[in-house]
Amino acid sequence: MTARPTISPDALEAAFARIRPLILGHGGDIEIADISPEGVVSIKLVGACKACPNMAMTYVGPIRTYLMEVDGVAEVRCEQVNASLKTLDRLARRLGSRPLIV
Amino acid sequence: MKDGMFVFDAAVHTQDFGDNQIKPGSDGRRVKLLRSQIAGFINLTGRRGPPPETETFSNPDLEWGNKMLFENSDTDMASACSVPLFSHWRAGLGPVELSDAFAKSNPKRVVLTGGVDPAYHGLDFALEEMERQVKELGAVSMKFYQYQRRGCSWRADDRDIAYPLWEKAIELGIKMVQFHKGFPLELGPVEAFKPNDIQYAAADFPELNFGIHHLGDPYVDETISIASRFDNIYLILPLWFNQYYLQPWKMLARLGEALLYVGSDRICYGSEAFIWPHMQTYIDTLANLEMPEELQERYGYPEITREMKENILGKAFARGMGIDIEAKKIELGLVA
Repeated sequence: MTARPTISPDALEAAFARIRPLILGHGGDIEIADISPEGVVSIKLVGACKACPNMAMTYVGPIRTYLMEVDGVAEVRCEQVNASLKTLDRLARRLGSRPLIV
Repeated sequence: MKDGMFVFDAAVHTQDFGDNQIKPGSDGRRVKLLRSQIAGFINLTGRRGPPPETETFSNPDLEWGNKMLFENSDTDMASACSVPLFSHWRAGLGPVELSDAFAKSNPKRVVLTGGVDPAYHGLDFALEEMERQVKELGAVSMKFYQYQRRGCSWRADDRDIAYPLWEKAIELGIKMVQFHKGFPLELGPVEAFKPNDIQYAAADFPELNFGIHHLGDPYVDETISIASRFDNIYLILPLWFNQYYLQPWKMLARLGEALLYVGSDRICYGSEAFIWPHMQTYIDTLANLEMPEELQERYGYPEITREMKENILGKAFARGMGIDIEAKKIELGLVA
C-alpha cells in the first residue's frame, strides 16, 4: 500500500494564494479549520462569504478545485455548506470541476 | 424522547380567548376575531388524528395539558410561551400568569417565557416587569409582540426603547429573547412584523440569542437570509408543522431553504400547542421526514439526516436557551 504523501505547507499556501484573491474580492476570506492525518482539509469561510447564498459554488468551484490539486489532500470539507452531496456533485459536474461522487 | 432524540417544544401557549379577556371599554371585536381565526386555522390545517376531547386552545386545563404533552406524546420539555398582546385584551393574549401557572405545574419539564411591551407599558415598567418575571417567577426567556395598535409599536433595533431591554436581558442571565414575526394576530398591519429590525440588534448584542417565530411568514425569504448572516439568530418553527399537512411541498421547500442557508443547529421545533393538542403527530412527522429527491435536485436542499432531526427536535432550542440537555436527560431519568 502506498503511503499518502504529506501535505506540504508551501504547496497548501500556494493553493490558498490562488483562491484567496477571488474570495477577498467578494468581501470574504478563508481559514483552515483542520487538517486530518488522513489528508482531509477542513476550511471555514468568513466575512461576506460566511452567509453568501452562493457559498456552495465557492466551495465546489475554486476552493475545492485548487486544494484538491495539492499532493496529499484527500478531500476538502466545509461544514458551513449544507447542500447535499448529490447537489454538490451536480454543481461540480456543471462547473467542470472535480466530481464529489466518483 | 423520540427514538432516542430529546424533544423540546419551543412554543406551548396557555392563551385565553374567552369573553372575560375583552378589555373594559373595548368592543371586543379583536378578541372575537382572533378566536374565530384560530378556530378556522385549526379546521383548515390542524385536524389530523382523533377529534379533540374539548375546545382546547383557550385557557386549557393544566393537568390535561401536561398529559397531552408529556404522557400522550414524546415531548420531554416545553417552553410555556407568553404572548404579550395587550391593547385589546384584559390580561394579554397569552397572559404571563397562565404561562407561569403551567410552568409551575411541572417545573422540571416546563420553562417560562415571559413577555413585556416597552411601547405599551413604557420602558421603565417593562424593565421592572422583566426583572420581576425573571426573579420572582423564574422566567428564562422573553417573548415580544411589537405592535399593539396604531401609534404603539417598536423595533428591536431602536436604541432608546429596545436596547435597554437587551441590556437588561443580559444582566438577568437570559440567553434568548423571542419575537412574533410575520402573520399578525388580529387586525395589525403585516409589515409591522417584518424581521428586518432584528439585524442590528443581533449585530450589536452578539452575546444574546434572538429567536424568530413562524419563519416570519410571509417574509420567509428575508427571515432566512437574515438568520444566515447572524449566528445568534434562531428560527423557531411553530406553524410549520401545522401548515405542513395543508401544503407539504411548500413547507418542505421552506424547511429546505432554512436547512441549506441557516443549518439545523439554529432551527427549533415548536408545536403551538394547544391549538392542536396531539403533538405526537408533529413529532412523528418530523422524525420520519425526508427531503424529496426532486427538491434536492432542483433546489439543492440537503437530505434530512438524523443529526438534523435531533437538532430541530430539541438540541438547537436548548443550546439557544442555554439549557444543558445532557444534564436535563439525567434529571428527568431519561438516561442512566
